[in-house]
Amino acid sequence: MDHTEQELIQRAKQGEHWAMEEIFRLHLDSAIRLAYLVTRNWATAEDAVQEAFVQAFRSLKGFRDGHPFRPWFTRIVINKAKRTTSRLDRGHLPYELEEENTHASFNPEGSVLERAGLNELFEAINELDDNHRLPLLLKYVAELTEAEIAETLDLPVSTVKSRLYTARQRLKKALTTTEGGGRDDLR
Amino acid sequence: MTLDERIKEALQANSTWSGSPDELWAKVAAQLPPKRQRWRQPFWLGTAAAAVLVLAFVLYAVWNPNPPSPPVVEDAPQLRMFSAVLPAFEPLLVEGGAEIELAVDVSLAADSTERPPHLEIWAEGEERSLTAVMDLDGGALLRTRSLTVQAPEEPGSYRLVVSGAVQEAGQLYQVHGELTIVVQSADQ
Repeated sequence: MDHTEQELIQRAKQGEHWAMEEIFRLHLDSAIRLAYLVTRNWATAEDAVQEAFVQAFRSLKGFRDGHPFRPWFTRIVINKAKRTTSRLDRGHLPYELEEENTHASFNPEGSVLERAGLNELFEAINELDDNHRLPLLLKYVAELTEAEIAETLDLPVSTVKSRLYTARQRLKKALTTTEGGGRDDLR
Repeated sequence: MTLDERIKEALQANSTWSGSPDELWAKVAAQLPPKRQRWRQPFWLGTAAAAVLVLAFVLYAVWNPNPPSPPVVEDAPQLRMFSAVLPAFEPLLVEGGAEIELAVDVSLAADSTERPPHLEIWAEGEERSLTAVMDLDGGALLRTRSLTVQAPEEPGSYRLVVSGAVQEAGQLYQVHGELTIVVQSADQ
């Protein structure tokens, strides 16, 4: 039987572990990606996400009924990821290489080329400072609205809009430089 | 592909987790407070509990008919052997108008047709005649178990009879007392 997110939250508030597990599985993917993109390390990201879920479920009673879960939980994930990173003093380590990248030579030629473009774009994203990178991650990974990003980062919506615009402009510029000319589809 | 799509894909492609959701959930679940055992109350339980209480109350009332603050009663009228209250079988010599203390016995009554408590004063001569009838306070009789009666002024032998039924705290009691007095003339 399918339950809505609000029903799951109500049951989780009553201490039902099965409801917590469903919420966990619904939000795990974006949470772990986000934590990894902030911490740049999978083990640290897993720790951060684990702590975030535990904290979220323990403090569910304070969660306001009827509100979306994702912005509230994303804020916890971001805080845990930042705190875990600073606790481990990882600074700005490079991302761990993913297994997928190491086997790129097995992919068809077209995919390799496309993959290379995505990697360059990813590098360009990582070149952004945190003020511009975090709103970008929240928009494209956590899929939050600008208002939700503003709430998550404690910023005015106008500031979020401005930072997202600037980030996109920088990425567009980086891509046009890499790809040797302007591209019409980079809107 | 638009810039938005490319950003999204670049982030997706470079953040693919190869860990186990089950293992991570196990770690999370291990740190959660144990599930509260919420016993689901059957819908009929409230009604059943109320019915049991009512039944228990009824059975208690049937088998323990004593009122909350019952006067101690005897199964049958008994003679008082001492105190200022005198035995009923011996005539009491009194002066006319003197106050006499008449003992009253209390017992459980089975018949509710009995009239309210009252005092009858019978003159006992050659012919027995009823000289006075007075209604009495049943509650006071139950509490004091005695009645103060003023003796008739007229010399002679009298029979004082207290009888009747008293209803108190849902229970019916029968009161009864008798005393023969002899009112002496002033020159005796």
